[in-house]
Amino acid sequence: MAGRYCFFYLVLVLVFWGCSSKESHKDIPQQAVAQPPQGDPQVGMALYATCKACHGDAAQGNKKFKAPALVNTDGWYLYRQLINFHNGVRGGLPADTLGFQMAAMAKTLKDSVAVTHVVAYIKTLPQVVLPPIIDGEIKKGERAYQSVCGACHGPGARGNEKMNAPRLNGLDDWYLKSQIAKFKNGTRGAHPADTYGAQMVPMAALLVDDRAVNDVIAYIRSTTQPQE
Amino acid sequence: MKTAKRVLLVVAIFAIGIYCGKLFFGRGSDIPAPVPTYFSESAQPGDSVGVGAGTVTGKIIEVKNGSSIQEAVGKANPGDLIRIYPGVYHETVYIDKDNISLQGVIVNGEWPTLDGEKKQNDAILYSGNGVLVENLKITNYKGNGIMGQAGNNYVIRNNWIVDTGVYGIFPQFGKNGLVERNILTGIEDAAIYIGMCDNVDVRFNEVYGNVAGIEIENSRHALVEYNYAHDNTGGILAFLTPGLPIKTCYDVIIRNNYVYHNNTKNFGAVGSTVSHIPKGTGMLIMAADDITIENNIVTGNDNAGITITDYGYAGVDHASDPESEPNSDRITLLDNFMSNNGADPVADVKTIMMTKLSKLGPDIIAVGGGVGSCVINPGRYRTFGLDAYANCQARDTRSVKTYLLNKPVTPRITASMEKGRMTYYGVCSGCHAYSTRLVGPPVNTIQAMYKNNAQGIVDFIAHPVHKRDDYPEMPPQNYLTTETRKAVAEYMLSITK
Repeated sequence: MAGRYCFFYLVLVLVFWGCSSKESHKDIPQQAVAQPPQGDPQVGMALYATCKACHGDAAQGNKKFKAPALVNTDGWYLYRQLINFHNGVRGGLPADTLGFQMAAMAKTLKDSVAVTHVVAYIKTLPQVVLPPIIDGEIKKGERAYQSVCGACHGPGARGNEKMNAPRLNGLDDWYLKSQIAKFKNGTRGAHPADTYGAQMVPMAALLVDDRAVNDVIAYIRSTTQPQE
Repeated sequence: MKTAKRVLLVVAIFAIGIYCGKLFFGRGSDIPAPVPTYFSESAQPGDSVGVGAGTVTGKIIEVKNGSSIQEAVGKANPGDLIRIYPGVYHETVYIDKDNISLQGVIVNGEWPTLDGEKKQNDAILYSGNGVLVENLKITNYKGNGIMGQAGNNYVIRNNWIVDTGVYGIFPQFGKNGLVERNILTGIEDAAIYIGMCDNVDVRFNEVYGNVAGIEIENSRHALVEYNYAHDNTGGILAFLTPGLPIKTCYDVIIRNNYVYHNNTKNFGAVGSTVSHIPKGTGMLIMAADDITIENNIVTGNDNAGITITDYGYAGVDHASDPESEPNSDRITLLDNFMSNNGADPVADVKTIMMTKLSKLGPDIIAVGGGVGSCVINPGRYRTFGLDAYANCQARDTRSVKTYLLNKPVTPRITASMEKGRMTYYGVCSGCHAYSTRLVGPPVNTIQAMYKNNAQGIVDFIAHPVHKRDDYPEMPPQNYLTTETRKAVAEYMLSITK
């Protein structure tokens, strides 16, 4: 019986995604954004060539181009954001210069399957430790993190997929800061289809000033340090 | 003759010792049951008349092992007494009627026991007024032992509460209530949590092995006396938590308590308010006003005997709630006995010790802002930060016998337009403050997630899904009607502070 169900699943998965993977999925993806299928890192490597120029050959990021590191970010979140860029849900506003650029680049990926391949490739690359750039008070930031961010982004800023909240502790601190600023000034999270981005708009506003933002970022960054 | 008397005396003492030993340890349990004690002049039968609870005017309903307490509550009318006989009851009892008394019947040391088997959230919830709960053993719940949800005129006494999750006894937003002679242990937040209440007496309780023993939070006119708070992380606390709908905490008398050896490692949920309490905290006053501390024995608490602080030093972010005044004002420290506190204080306190060239932490430490405080004869204690404290005009609190009112108060408004607000105050705000994390996510986070989607909250709270590993599970609120859940969801999405 179980074998027959497994087979049935496998057929469905193949029909839905034309995927060459031999792994069977527990759930049939309902929605492209919520359930990224397995991609092929080999195919992804070729597609990544486009990304290299800004994000670096090991997806380690490059501050000069204001391109963040990608390797420390969870695959499901990379997938969602690439799709959002692709569909104009993120980076659709010309006022968001960098997001606008990224949206144009994302459109060079032909479809969601191509996106899964790129993500699969990025996930094969080793994670990196990022240099600290922003100063803040970790202790103050921890309290603010717990009352503002932690309910969704989880303990130690490790992210919580069940809450659709990405890991934050592997992001460049300057990038975190720029995104909080965008949520605050309305250039991110404003698109009606950006459900989770919209949630960030009122939350970012709770970090009232530059100092509060820096403190939280200092705390988030501190969680990537090895625990004593 | 004299020798014979002496021998008799020794034999008598020995016999009493054996008898007491059996009484305490003879039940196959390490945790002693509460023994009703009447060692106060005022603690005579009839002393809670003003509360109104426990006044039986109706019939008596008996619940025997194997039947359901909730069924009995369903059958009961206001004024009825429900007597629960020894047995094990696996259920959540919800009382939404007025003047219901739940009374355990203890037979030969056998207690009626509510056992949630770590599956159920709450043992007893009541939203009715004039509710009495007594003589029950409650154990293995995940949320609350006994929680009042805006019920007034309550009496909770002589219960034995072991490991019931977040809170043990938690009358929320209730006026005119008595919590006495309970024993509580193993609670991961506050064992006795008086939240947003007025006129409450908390006395003769024993709390040990909890994160917070007795917590008076955003409440007014509270008398905390004759309690034994030992081996918690923090013994007795009075807080004003920002972001709750009640914005003050004042007029609390803490007297005649024994606060001993509260050095248990903090096992509160990471990020919750109480998780920040340093172990070794005897008493903690934070942003609460008009607190009188008298005639307590405070000893063996390794961080500090009494800590008085504002939000700034405690690291509490209150920027989003300017209405909650951050200082502890008008603290009155009368005669207390303090010794052996501060053997192993936290780093912040150690820093202050260095400046004082002291090898030991303080009996009393006051940090941060605050005005109008005083202390009698501070030279007998090791104190930090009391330089601005005046000598007290008051010498004792003898004039206050009780904070209970002399007759029951009327129920909280329950008109339907108020239903959302009342439900938030009485149910949700126990864990969800507006802008700070008490236990669950703050309301402003919930607002961001459920913008224009009250129905989403209505559905979620009826059958919550556990999504956050570092948070306790949200308990199902499906005992509330859809209409009530809708009202509270809309109310929660509308509040701004």
